[in-house]
Amino acid sequence: MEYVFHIIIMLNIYIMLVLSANLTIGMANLLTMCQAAFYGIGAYIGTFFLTQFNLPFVVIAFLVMVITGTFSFLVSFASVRLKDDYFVIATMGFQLIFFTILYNWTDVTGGPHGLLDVPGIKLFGVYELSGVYEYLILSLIITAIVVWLFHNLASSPFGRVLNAIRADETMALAMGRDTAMFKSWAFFLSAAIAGLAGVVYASYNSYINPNSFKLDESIFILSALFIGGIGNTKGPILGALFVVIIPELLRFVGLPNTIAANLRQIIYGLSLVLVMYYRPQGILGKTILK
Amino acid sequence: MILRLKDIHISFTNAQNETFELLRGVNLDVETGKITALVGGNGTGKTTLFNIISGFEKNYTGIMLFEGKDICNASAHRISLMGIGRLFQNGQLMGGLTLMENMKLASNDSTGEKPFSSLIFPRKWKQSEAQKESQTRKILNRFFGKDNKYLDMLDEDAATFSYGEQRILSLCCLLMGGNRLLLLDEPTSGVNPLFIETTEQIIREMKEKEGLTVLLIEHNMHFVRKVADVCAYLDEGVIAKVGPTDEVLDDKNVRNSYLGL
Amino acid sequence: MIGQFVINGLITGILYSILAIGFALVYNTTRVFHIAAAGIYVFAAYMFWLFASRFGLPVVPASIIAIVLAGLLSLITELCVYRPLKNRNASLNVSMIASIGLMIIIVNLMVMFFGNETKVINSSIVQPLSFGNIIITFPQLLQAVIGVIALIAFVFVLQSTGWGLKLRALSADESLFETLGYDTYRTRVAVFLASGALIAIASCLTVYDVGLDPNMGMNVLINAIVAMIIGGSGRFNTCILGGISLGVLQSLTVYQFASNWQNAVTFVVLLLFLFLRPQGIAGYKQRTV
Repeated sequence: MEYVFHIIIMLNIYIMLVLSANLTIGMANLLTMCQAAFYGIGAYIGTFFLTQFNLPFVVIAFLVMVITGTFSFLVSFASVRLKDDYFVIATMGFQLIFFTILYNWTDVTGGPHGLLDVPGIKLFGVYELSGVYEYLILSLIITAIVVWLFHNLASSPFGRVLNAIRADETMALAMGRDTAMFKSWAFFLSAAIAGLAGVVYASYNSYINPNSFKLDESIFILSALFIGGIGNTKGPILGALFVVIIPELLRFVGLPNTIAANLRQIIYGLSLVLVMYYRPQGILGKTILK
Repeated sequence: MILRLKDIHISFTNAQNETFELLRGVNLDVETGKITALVGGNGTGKTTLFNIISGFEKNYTGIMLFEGKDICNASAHRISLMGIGRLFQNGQLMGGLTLMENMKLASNDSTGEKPFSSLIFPRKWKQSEAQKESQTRKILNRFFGKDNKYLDMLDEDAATFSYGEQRILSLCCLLMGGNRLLLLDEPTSGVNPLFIETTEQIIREMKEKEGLTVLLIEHNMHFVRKVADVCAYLDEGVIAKVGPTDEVLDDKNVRNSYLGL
Repeated sequence: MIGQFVINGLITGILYSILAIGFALVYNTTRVFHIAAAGIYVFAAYMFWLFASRFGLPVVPASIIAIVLAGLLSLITELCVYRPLKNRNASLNVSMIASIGLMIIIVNLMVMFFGNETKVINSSIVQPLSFGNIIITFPQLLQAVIGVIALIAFVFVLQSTGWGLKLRALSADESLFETLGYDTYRTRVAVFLASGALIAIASCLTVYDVGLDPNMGMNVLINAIVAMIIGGSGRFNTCILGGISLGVLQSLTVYQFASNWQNAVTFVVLLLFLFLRPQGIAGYKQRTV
């Protein structure tokens, strides 16, 4: 049973990550390849706060979200100046620079060995969470809040402006919307939620290393998003479900581990190609990437 | 005088590093409450002039005053918020958004568009949403008659409408409020004859009922004669002639150089 | 000492140039952000290893087989993915996502068949050449000579033959190209074959020297893209300029700091270019509409 709960916790973390990617990619059509960097910033900064201070979780989560969100200004600055492929490659660059720093700044990040013994989340500054059950409940609550948040944002006037930017940025400007500001907000929220997922992951796993936050992880999040669908809330949730469940199904079928790891990657890749051909908005998605 | 352009110059450089001066000192005063037509041959810089006024083109020199305020350094969205609305050449509704969403976005009232206020104070913006919805219905009723089909299609994707319909609905969007000067770039192009009459009615009502000032680019001279009070003729980078519509269009030089008569 | 690093950088730069051209061939003519090129690079390396080390063929025929197979794989990506997507009027970003999917498939197939560990091809040790205090190893010499020959051949084809003209025309304006009665699809077939072959040449030359592992593709591809952008995208010859600049720059980074900061410096330079001079070293500013 603990194993099933572990899967559900990971699923919750991925739901947050994929939803956060959807805010920029799906709604505002800003294709970013650095979601894992924000996830990583959240995890490392969260670890720092958890180790150094004895703060209630809500405070730590808030601080992590604000700081991770602040890092997103690097990306939103790029989005104002760069278009299309250049923006994609710039975000890729940001992701790779971040990874290089994590990997090489050994004094602070622990380098390739990562950080061991990340303390558990202290709910009210006293009670330290431990064990899979307590994290299950915590992650379910946080994910529920995040899902509610994105669901409301999608149908709010804010979501409408993001959709307008996706449809025609010039027109949105001509209608008096400060598109640069709206994009920055989208990046900020997206990064903040990814950072939140990072801190939950770090304290649940009690160990982080740079390999969880590299370009492959960004691409993985992207795959989940595009398979599930972009532009609404149910698409990304389905995508997260898909990428978390497939490996378990393969294990269930009884494939040896060595093949299963690659086979699931191949299944992701194949699904991505097929979805792009037959249903470019994704299985449950609403909008098509421009 | 709602808009005053003084000595607007703009030039472009091509790949071979040759510089070409498109506008060579445009002076134009747009009178409040009137419909002014901007005519001139293809490639004379009419749309570029619109881009300059609405803040999309920044590499120019000259002075622009809107209601007495200098708008040279204002960004495009600021200029729009100050009250200058624009219909783009070939501009359509935003596909992927519903007709209602298009109309709501056209309003200058941006209540609830801040991400946090849209989450924390839903009551506040739901009120202004309702107000925008009723305004949309009112506008559609006014121009397409009671119980027209667009009222039932408010929640459909704007891309499902025909090109002509989208043009005319885009024109309706400009009435959603907050605008005092409208820049219309060829409102009749691609619109069928039946809709041209509606277009004419909308533009007239913009002036007469809403008290808006209209500056429009138009190649259809019959249409210009019917709606425009004032006509400005752009030629060789300057406003060569400006005055009452009939006077300008019947001017010998204008007929020679533009209409080729 | 610094001379050694410059020479090393130049030789790496030649390989980057070939890769950048391989990527730019597809990017400039089809506008597809061909991330699957990373997969093709890995595929070529494994085919080379398979025929040279497993089947024991001499290096030259093994590499030729690898180059041909990589060209064919590149063509398959066009015929099975990009062309159907284009026929569906899919947007370029959609093609790019599909390309990412392809890259994942190819790389993981390689891992499935050949395993995850690093492999080497060249086990023989040939006495390196030394000029004063500059040392050039035999694989490096091969890279330099064959690389330069490949580049010269490409530039010749581009500048002096009908195919080169078609390539340049297609990258300038596709609809005009079709209006003039040329067949875009047929040209695209040639483009993908050539792109795959060039990527494979660079791949074989590299892995002959340093060995191969399945995760190397993406890193190499990103360097190629950076080379293309800092050279000046939209054209082909500028890739050589970009590739060599990048190679030397990276080598000097290693000289000045350490090899583990190489990627960070590469990307800082890329970002500087993107913001300050997006048209690249040799490009000219275009009027955007």
